[in-house]
Amino acid sequence: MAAEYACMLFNSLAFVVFFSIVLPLYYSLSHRWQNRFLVVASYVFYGYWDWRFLALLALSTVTDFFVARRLESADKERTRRALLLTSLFVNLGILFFFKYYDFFVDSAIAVLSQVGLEPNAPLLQVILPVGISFYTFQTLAYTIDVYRKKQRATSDFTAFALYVAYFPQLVAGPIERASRLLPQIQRPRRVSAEALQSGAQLILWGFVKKVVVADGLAPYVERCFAHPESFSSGALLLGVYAFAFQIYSDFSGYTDIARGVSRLMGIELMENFRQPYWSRNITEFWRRWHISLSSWLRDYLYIPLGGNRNGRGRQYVNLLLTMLLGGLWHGAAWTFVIWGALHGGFLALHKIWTQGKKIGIEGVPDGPGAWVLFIGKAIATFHLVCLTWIFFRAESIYDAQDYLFAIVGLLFSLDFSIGPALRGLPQTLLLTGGLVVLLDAICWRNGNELPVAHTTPVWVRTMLYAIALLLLSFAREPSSDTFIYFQF
Amino acid sequence: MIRSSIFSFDTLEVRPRLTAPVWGALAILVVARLGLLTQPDAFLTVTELGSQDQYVGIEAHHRLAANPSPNVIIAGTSRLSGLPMDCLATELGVPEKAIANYSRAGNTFWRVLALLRRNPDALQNLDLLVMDVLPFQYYQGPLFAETNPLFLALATVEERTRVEKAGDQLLVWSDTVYPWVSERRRIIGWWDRFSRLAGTPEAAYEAYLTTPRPNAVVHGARVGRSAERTKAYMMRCYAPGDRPSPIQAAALKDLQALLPEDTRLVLTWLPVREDFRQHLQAPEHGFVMLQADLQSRVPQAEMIWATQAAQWELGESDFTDVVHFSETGFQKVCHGLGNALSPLLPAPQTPVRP
Repeated sequence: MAAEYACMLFNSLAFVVFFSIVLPLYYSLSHRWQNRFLVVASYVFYGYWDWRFLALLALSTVTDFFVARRLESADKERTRRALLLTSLFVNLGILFFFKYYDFFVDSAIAVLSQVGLEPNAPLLQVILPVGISFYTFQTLAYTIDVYRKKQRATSDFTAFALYVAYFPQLVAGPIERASRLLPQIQRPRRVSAEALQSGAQLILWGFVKKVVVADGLAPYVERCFAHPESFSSGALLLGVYAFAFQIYSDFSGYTDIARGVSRLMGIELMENFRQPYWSRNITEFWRRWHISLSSWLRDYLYIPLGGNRNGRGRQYVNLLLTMLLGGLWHGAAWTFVIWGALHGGFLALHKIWTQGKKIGIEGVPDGPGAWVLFIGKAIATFHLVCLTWIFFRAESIYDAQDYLFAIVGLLFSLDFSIGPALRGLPQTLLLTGGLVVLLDAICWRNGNELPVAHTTPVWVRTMLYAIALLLLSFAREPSSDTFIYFQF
Repeated sequence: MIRSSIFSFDTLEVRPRLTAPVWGALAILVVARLGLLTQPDAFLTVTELGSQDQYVGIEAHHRLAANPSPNVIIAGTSRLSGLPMDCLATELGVPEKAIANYSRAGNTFWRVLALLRRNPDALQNLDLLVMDVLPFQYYQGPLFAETNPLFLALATVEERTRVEKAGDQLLVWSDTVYPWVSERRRIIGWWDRFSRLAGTPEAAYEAYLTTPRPNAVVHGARVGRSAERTKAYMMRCYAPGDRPSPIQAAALKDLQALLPEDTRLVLTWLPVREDFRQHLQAPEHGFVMLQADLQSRVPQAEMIWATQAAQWELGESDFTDVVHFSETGFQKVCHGLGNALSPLLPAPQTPVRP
């Protein structure tokens, strides 16, 4: 059973009240008490959804804290492995039970029934704890790093508990590494005027992305994917574009708010998105999209599998496996597995195409020819990603297949009619997608994380902030949806 | 600075203050908000595809109708929005313009009350106010939250005090102070406002009337492979729980009180498809309980309870899904409803039947 999200969403009044109480209190406390206070606040934040699941959070925290402490002092490799396995067993066991048990049992039943068997395994219909995939990966990374001796085990339990439960990034990331976050937790923090301003600006644009863009597109996407048989091929194509902008704005908006909130408290969270739709190829896309997950998968899955160390063929298999599991991380459904497999396949094909050349994030094109080439590549990459989004968003493989075939029909029908149920989709997509492209273009061109720099003329900043506030006040969905990534 | 082991106040390097651009932006927002105070209904007419949209469409229809003071108002849900008025007029023996159909998807007692309260001329010649009843209108449940933007925009202070959940109360009262939810509209609404429509409310209303509604398409699409999903959705509508909503319960009484003395409130349970009716047989879903509850609230109201599809000769093909009627179904509903309503009309309008 999917969780019903009575979470303390960043875009809810409950969070506004919560943070309005937490922030001034936080500023008034000494460092040691700040950490204790943030642990309590984080548990309140998570327990607001369902207090019973605080036990899971606590179990993960206690297990990894003590396992890491023992790892630090253990010399024998056998003991160290046993300790690591203990952590993996507890964390992955919890994840498997709550997220994947029903999926695997259901799939096994389906396979066995194909060969004439009728197994009678019970489905548990358990509630999926919010954010479980995020905090499980975060704690696992810590223990694995301690096992690899890349990270010292902390003796400060409060700091570690905060590392696991830190509320701005607890339920939807970024998935932080202990090497980045723990030192920030352990040392006294100072918040500068610049941090206050940039943090507030991150929150402002994060809200615009979430409540104006993502929520504005959500009803159209919902209709397109719920009843693809009711709409023209052209309308369905717009529906995929709408989802591409919705999920990006939803997730990156959440991340911006999380980073802004955290920056106001003097803790810097990692950048999770760098204008991903401006990528020239699929490899660059994964350097710009959900960076904390892609780097986690690289460090804790792809490289341990062998990475590129055992020949090209093995590298492609490793890529495919990594992305396939990355897909499964998103949800217990075959649609996510296919989504991951497609990305893995595209990455492998791109590796073959570039003959293993190292691909990084490229800068702004230089000259008209380079611009044309860049735009062509970016549009092609965007469409590849959109193809995978169909599987990501569809409720079943059959639904995705129907949706895909309907779009392919566009080649034959050229039917762009927008029915009454999708009235306004092109205009909304144009306005909201245009806004996202504009904001990203400014950041991409300037190499900044924020669209408005402190060097921008005062009147321009005034107008931009006013537009953001007016949009938030008057142009958004009457009722906000939850963040898409909360369900993962 | 106060320093102790608990407090230190030294995290902030500077005292937080708003910069000039932020002050400027806030000033622009305040000016915009104050400007809107002079036109409280300005945002009500901005189009959107939602409950408010339908409400305004109906209000527009009422105000622009040839007869804004009808004898019969049908204020049903989506189930009655396609009821053929010519058919019902014939059944009742009244001119077609004497009947107004103000049905809309997800209609509730409070929404009908809000409509009539804002348009008292609708009550001048009113003989019958007919509402089809669904449990979600009355019992608290997961659907049709009462704290939607329409409620936030039009509810009286007393009605706002009836909101129960703490989170909803926070929403209601914060929106009363600063309408941060009730004045929000979809992007498409603003697009329409500034690109296609003229600024007058009448023109905006006219646009509502000519804008195709999504319901027909959505319902049509649900008939096919999504029938099971629709059924599950309908189960939530029809079996929301058994705890009356204080807002809806009070609205029902207020609605009765608002009607002139010689106007009759008619509550009707319309038939559902037979297989769906069997789903509703469990006692906790009982429509008998609903009827008794409603009767106790408004003893003066007339009840037309057609619990079996066969009562009005409705077959499977008379439904487009488990609850909505097809064209043939509407003819039979019109006949059944006409027969039940005719005796309730005052004598001069009673049809002379051969």
